[in-house]
Amino acid sequence: MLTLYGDLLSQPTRAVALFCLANNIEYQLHFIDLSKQEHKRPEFLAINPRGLLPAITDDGFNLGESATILRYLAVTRSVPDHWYPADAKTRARIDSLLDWHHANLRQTSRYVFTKELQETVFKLPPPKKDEFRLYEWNMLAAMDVLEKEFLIEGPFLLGGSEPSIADLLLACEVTQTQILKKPDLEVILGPRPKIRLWLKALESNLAPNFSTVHSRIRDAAAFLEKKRNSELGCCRLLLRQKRQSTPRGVEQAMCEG
Amino acid sequence: MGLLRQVKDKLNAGEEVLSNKARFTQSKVSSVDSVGMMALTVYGDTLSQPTRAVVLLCLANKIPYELKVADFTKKEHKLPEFKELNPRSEVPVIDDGGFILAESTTILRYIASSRHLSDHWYPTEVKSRARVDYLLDWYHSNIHQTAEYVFQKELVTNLWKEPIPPEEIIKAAEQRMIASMDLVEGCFLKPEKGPFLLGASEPSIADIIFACEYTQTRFLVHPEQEKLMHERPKTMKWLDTVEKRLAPYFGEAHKTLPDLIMAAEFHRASLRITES
Repeated sequence: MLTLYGDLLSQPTRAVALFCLANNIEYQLHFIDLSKQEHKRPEFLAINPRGLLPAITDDGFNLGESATILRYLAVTRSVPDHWYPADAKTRARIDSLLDWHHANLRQTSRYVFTKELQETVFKLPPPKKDEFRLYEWNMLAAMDVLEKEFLIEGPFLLGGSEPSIADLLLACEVTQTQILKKPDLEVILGPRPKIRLWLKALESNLAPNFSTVHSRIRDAAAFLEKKRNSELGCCRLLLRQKRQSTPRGVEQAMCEG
Repeated sequence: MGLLRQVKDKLNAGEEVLSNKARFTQSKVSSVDSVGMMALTVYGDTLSQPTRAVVLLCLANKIPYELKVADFTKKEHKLPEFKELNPRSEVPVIDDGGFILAESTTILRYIASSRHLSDHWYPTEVKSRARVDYLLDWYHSNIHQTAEYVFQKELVTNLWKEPIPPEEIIKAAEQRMIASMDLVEGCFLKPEKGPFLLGASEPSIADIIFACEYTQTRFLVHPEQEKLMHERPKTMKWLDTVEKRLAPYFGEAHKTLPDLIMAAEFHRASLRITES
């Protein structure tokens, strides 16, 4: 049985879960509570020494790094070729996107974290202005590359007629912006119609699984919006996982009492 | 005054070295290797560690290639001609018979697969490959910070002649670099199993790109280099093993570094003299 360690609030965890659901790969989601520092505990570090989400255990084989996990699952399970094509040059183009992602679009999560979560949810000191501006600048530059270069032919990345693992990983990064206030979200996605169309194409192509994996972040976004509207001074996002069954796996809850 | 003149003369000599490279705008010369494949064109600068890694893989496997230098010290990777190849100005970029590819770790994977290199470079067995992929992915956000630190600390000022970056940027890059080096030393090197990364008995493309990242620290002043490596005996042994295993190609891929290091040192010295 495949075990996926993570939290669907984390964008690369979502990408791996979505890939499993879209390809009917049985898996068990083992919730790792970041707020309790569970990713730093020895039992998790034994699986991924880097201590980051997601990680998998596949019949005793441990693996970290979301792009690597996606490649591994694409190759070991009988999935359609479009996810990670066997043709060397097409595969290299997808690998190129997966590599680019790390230093570029991944800045989106840093921006979202520093803008909305750092102080209000995690009660940390506010970000330094220069640092914040750098994340914002890097994120917008990456979004522009996505809009003007990688999505120049639709509907999927690099003109693909079907999604690849790169579509999942990059899209789940962009959807992290749901956490932002609506005006901030509009500033990022408003002037980028190709990105909006691409997200819609993915949602449609991968229905209902795309929506399913985003349920937790949708709830978190709604929770934050409610708190902002109620103008309460204290806001603590309860990173709880409710016990619920999914059609293809059971999430093990690690709730606070 | 006499000393300043000496330093200036050597700086000028250093400048000459820097300017004495083939430009990528020169017309291409293609050659065909023994199995009929066109030679690979690599656009980059061996000042940049990922370019060195690609060159080293080609040299070690006798893959014909032509290096078209996009001189980093003169920011030629920002020129319009280079942006036609790669609008994001990233180096290295390869042209394999018209197939253009960027991102060094992808280039290494592609060369290993398309040239059917010995399996240890990028294993076909799925779990062994996943282990190498893990390191290549981890590289980007982690040990690649070594280069970022070296760039901010030494290269921006001493090669680009730009103002010293803010202290917090240098400090942040240093912390990330040290954390990554600690993980390599403490976790990824398993000499009890094998001399290469993750205890492999032969080098992979991950060993190549990681090693080229560490050699970037040669731009730091010696006391700082020693301090970084002093408490990392496994790393020092591994680097030595990689260098010996890939000799003489490792030295060949790094041959431009001594001159660049010299140019940087002289500029550093001149700054000290003009300040005093």
